[in-house]
Amino acid sequence: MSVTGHVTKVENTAVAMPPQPAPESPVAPESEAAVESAAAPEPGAAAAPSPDAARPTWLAPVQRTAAAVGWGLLGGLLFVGLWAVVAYRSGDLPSPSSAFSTLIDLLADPFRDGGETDKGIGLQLAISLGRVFSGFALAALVGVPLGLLIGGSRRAWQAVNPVVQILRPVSPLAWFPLGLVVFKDAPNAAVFVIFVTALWPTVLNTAAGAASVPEDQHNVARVFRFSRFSYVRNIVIPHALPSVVTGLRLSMGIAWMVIVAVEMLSGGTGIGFFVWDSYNASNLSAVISAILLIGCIGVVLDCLFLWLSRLVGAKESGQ
Amino acid sequence: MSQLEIDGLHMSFPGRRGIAPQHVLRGVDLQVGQGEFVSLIGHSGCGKSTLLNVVAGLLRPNSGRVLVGGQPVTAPGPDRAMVFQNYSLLPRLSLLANVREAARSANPQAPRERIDETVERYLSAVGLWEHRNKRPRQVSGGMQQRTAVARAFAVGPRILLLDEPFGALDALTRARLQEQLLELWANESTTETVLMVTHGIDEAILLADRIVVMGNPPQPSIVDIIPVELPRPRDRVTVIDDPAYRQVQQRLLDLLHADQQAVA
Repeated sequence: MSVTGHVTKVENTAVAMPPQPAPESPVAPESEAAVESAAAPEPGAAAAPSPDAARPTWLAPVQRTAAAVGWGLLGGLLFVGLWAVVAYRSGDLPSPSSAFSTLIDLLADPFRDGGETDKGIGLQLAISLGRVFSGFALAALVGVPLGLLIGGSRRAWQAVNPVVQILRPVSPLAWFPLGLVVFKDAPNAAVFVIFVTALWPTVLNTAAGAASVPEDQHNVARVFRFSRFSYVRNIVIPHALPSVVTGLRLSMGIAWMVIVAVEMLSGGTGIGFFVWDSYNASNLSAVISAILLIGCIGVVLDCLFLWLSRLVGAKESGQ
Repeated sequence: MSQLEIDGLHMSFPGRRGIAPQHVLRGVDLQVGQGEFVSLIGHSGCGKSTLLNVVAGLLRPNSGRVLVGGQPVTAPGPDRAMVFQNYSLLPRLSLLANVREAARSANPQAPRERIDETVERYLSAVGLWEHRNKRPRQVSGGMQQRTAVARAFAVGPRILLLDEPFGALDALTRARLQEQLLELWANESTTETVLMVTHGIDEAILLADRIVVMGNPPQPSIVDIIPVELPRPRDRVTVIDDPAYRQVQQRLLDLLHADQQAVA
């Protein structure tokens, strides 16, 4: 089996990508020039008298953006409308208005710290983010070198692959009891679960990138007798870098989902605990507010890694 | 003694579903003397690149052997450097770093100053010293291939292996690079022997001392070896009028045409 066979390698698709061929959609890194020229009106083109164009050329991108925003708003309104109907029919679920007013209340004093379990939602989110980043950083620290190793060596791949393939489909939450026993501490066990979550996509994507070094670059290294170190430093790592960032991005996305579940188990602090605690206090409006905030932070995290992958992708093309 | 000796080389690539195995090298024997420039010419699939890769040590033959200076070849070595068909520079390294990394890797014992001096000499010789800090993708194909040529010479090989080095370039760039190559080979370097795979009849005649014509099955791997008895330096404009040039050209055209007929 080839390395790439098992690897979920997601392309750099944008977070909110409209399905129509809109040039402003941040899809492919190589179309950056096109994006730029579409977004920034050329002064010469705008000033030039064009016989058949009654409108100035800069108007078109503005109109496209306005249309995208308009449709986005419409979709959002439809969703809220549907929610209002469902909430009205069920009678148990909070209506959009009560959820939004709760959200505003929560955001009024997000970093309030009233001890043990009475913390503002901003503080809870920060605690969860801290756990995610710790576990994620550990996973990157272990996963990238491990991925480079098994991507570069067939024997290492054959040794590690069975273990990875068996552990990969396991829900990371199953590791929580082991973490509890080893670390004797719920927050550290949560970080451990995030570590396990982020490890597999990082390892597999890095390995796929490292294993796909083009034949001709491999031959260059052989003909000119590159040392192992020089080969890894000058050929494998540069080639694998975009896949590594893709792996990290996938890991971060999954880790941010898993942290909520872990904190429901571990209790005490964090946004997952906040959701569970709100449910126990029959405060479903707070649950919905938390869902919205978790989603927004997820988008921000994804954009961060998308930007990072553009950065390494751009370097690839010699900029 | 020949510097490069190829004895009874056989090489097959196993067939996949529905495709018969290909017997690419069918008993190749060839001796190349010190200081000789030999071209390998033939239609696609005749095994000329495979032969070059075997000499480079990148491929192991099924049987037969390659001797360089009397020593059998089992792997790539610093006595042989290669210029690849598609430039094959490392995309993230500058032109300078591409050449330096190869020179350093092939001569790990050499002092740093000598490596730097060599790198500067060859990059200057191909006219790229001013562009040394650019990345491969920031320069033209011709400049990339000149870098690849400088890289091969900077290693200080005794045998230079060229795999259709100028195939992807336009005619003017190709002509200039051919001249630079001859200049480097004849005057500037310690490289003695050149083995070049090419598609171009005129390129082969202009550059080579001998031309090895390779064929597809059912023909033998080496159909004929044609000596080019034109005095050096050869001028690309006047050499065409030399009767010897015409003779070799006609001979090559006939052989290559016959090979195509045999396959069809």
